[in-house]
Amino acid sequence: MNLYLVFFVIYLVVMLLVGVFTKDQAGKSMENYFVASRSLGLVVLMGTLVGTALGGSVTMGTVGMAYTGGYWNWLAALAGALGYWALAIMTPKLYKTKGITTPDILAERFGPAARYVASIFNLLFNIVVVAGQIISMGIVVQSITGMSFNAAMVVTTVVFAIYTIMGGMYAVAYTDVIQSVFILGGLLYVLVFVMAKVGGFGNALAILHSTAPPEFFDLTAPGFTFLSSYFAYTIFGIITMQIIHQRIFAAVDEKNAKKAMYSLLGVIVLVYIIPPMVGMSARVLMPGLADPQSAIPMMIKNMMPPFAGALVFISLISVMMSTADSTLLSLASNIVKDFWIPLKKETPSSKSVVIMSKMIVIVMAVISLIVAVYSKLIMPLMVFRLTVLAAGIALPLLAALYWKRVTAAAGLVSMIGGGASTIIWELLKSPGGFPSIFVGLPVCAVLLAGISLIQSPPKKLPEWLSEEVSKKGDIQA
Amino acid sequence: MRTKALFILLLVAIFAIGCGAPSVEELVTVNSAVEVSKAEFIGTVEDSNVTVELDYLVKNTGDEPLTVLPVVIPSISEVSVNNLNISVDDKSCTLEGENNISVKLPYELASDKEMKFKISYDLSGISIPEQGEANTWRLIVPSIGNSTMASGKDKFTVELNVPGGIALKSSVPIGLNAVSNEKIQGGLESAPSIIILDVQGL
Repeated sequence: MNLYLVFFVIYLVVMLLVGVFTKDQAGKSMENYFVASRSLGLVVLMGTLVGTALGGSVTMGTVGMAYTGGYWNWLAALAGALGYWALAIMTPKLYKTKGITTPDILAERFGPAARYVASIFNLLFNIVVVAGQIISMGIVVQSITGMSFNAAMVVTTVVFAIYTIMGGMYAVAYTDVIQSVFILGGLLYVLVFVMAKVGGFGNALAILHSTAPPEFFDLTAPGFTFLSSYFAYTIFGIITMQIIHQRIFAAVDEKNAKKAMYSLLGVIVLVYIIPPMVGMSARVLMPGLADPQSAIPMMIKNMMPPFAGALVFISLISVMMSTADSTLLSLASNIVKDFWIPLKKETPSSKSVVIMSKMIVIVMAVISLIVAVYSKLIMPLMVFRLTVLAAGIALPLLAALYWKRVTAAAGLVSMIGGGASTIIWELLKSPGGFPSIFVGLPVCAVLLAGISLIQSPPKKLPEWLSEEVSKKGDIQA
Repeated sequence: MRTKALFILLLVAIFAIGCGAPSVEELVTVNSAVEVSKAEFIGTVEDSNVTVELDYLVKNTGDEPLTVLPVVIPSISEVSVNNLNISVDDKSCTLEGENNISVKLPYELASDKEMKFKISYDLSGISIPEQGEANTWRLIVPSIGNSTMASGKDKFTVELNVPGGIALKSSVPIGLNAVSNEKIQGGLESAPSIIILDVQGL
């Protein structure tokens, strides 16, 4: 058995053990299972946020894009950081909603139909995220250990599904903490390794200046249309991410939730600098790679000392697994909290909710694996799903949290209008090259504001907004 | 409130920066009329100096005849390029510039025709490791500007003659191996702009 495989097996066993140890805590109620009974302290919150936020697209994807495209990927990284900054600003309000899923917030302001619409958006597009991470894990495990692609996908899916089934949010959060240590350590090691090889980033740039096209060094090379749409769907897309909202819901208090989100922002600002540097330097070390996204696996296999290479391999698996498990749990929470419970005539017992949640995790894991094995459209769909979520959910969510005047009908119609117009524009293949996000977002905004202003203001406000009203009233009095 | 204002300001600034940049189509268009059909790198390491002969088989894939070819020599720390000579079919060429050299060809290279393009140079700044000591050699490989490399394995071959008593620990690009205690060889699919060798004194 090779060293990589030994590390891989040990890692999987440790992840499963976390599931075993958290099983009892998670099994008590739905709130325990999906948001760890709102008990996560600062360290665990930070770990789980880092693990969840840094997925395969941020690391391997950005390395590949920087290898091909160069400087502008720093700007792309900035878009991500701005998205998380926006979420950090929203954290106190999100925490106050005491939700379990994002549709909980929308349902509170816009009624039960909004819950179903938002939940369907989440379900359809987040299966793509889990499947995408499964495929990435399959590629990495296959290229490093020699295991077959399908076997690698099945093994990794079975492991993260088992610990998620057993320990719910507890298992996902604690494994995320371990995984985030590997992720950050691995990324830093890769950066140091690559820089040592090329003799510093200055050397890499000097060589690139002689071999790469001038556009490679242009921060705005892809042009205004591309960049502005990229910023729009990334920032508004991140705002809608239920996997991050659920970590905010799971915090022990608002103060810790806020601290953890700003710490995540700090980590992201630092970490987002690394993949573009690695990608550009990899172009110097390994010119002409057919698949630039495989740059780090190629380094592990062909350049790094075996022990260090094995640790970086584990950090790559951690990147993908920490996002896959969070999204899988998030999917299950949508089905249980947004469909199963509301559609039941009688309120189910805590025990039956937990059992149903575990069964749904199994079903969602199987569906994601099937999508991963049989679909070849995962990667384009990853970008598309962020665009649809950004256009359909972001503005209604912001309005639900901050705008007292928004009406239920406006919220529901804007969600459907924003999402549907984006999908239709994409199906029409974006006429005139006009990005679909700039169709969906204005449609959503016009419907949201227009209908709200035509209708009478809502009579009843949720606690997180009425609290503010009473506070202001106190001051005036 | 101040944080929110700063956030919006930053967003506006970024969008403003994006104005006037080239389109994606412009970004991906490769303006190349020269193809390197085959290349051979032969180097000899002696003291702190490497003598290199780089033979390219160059084809004009454009519609117009070629009279000038750009050659780019990366400038990296530690290593410097000296005694640069370029010839075409053994005829010496006139060079202009230092790192981005313009090479005036001794004759017009007609469309679809090939020529032998030879670059010879010395690299200084390489240190031979003492017994037990480890060193990294970074060998610069000049490139013909805007050229593409014909696809296929072993299109770019490397042969490096090294003094005895040196072990090769690792190499970038991948595909270079120590075939004997005094020779490192390999065949590559694409032209490297740098060859990095981790060596150790025996």
